[in-house]
Amino acid sequence: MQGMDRERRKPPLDTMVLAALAAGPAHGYAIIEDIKRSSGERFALPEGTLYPTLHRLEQAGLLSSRWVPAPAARRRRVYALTKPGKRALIEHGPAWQGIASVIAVIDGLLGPASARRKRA
Amino acid sequence: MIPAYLRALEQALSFDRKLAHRVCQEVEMHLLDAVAADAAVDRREAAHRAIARFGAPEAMARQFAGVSLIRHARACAASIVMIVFAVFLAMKARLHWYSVTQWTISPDDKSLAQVVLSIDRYAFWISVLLGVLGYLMLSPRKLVTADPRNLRTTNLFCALATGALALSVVTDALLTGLQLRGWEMGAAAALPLFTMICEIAGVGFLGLRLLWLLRRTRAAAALLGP
Repeated sequence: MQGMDRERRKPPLDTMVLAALAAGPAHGYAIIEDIKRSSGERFALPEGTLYPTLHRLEQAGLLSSRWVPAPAARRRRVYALTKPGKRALIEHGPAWQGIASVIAVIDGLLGPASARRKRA
Repeated sequence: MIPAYLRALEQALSFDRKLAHRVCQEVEMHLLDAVAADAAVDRREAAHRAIARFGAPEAMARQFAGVSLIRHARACAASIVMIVFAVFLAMKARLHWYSVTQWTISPDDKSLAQVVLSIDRYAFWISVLLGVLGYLMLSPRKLVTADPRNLRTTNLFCALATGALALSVVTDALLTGLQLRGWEMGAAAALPLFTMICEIAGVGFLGLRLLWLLRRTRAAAALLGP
């Protein structure tokens, strides 16, 4: 529970972005799409929040980034987890899974089954 | 529509030109990807929707401002600590040179030199203390949380440390002048003069760096609020 308390004080967005990069390096648009897909299109990360978050996590040493060539002589900034970033994800991931299971229980209690019980 | 949005974003991020250039390139690619993926509707409508998802440029710039200012203030404080160390080495090199060449201050100037030396020492150690404190006040954790709470104090400490170091360098220059007075200006005077030029250049660089930091802070103040 102590880990969960600590997690509640941390912005969930940071962990979400770190988790999205766990599979490998990606650029901003791919991160947004990945999060949208993983949530079954239920959660759309605000684009205007993603880039400041990526920059902040990079400055804090949790991410690294580099330019890679893109079509039409353009460039993409690709982000990857650093060692401290991977460590932070391993440290905080289980606490978020704990929070997620509590939310699932609450969702179940407040969901259709609960409504049926009340009707009965 | 996209170029106009990017111009507005670059303007909102004007407190950090390098960051503005980078962010605008990233956002442009993102918007182009979003428009390309939204092929079902016409491109103008798709661009409008993609820009709407990003929100107001000022709101985005506000989120960048804290981290950018903290990073630059930390870099400024780190520069102070490094230049203070360089000034210390220059002073030590000069003193060592005086003992090797057996240059001494003339007895007439000794009492004045004592006063200048004590001002020099106090100013130097004050700059060390304020520079280190300024650096420590903005821990790396502040970058994670983008917490700009100690920013003003760090900027103040950086300004005071630079001022104290400038005073220390001025008194160094006075002492060097007293030391070299009455001696023939030959090759032996090259080292004291060279170290003095290095000290002055270091303080000049710090002054400019501080000026840039204060300009950035002023430009971002409107975004961050009181």
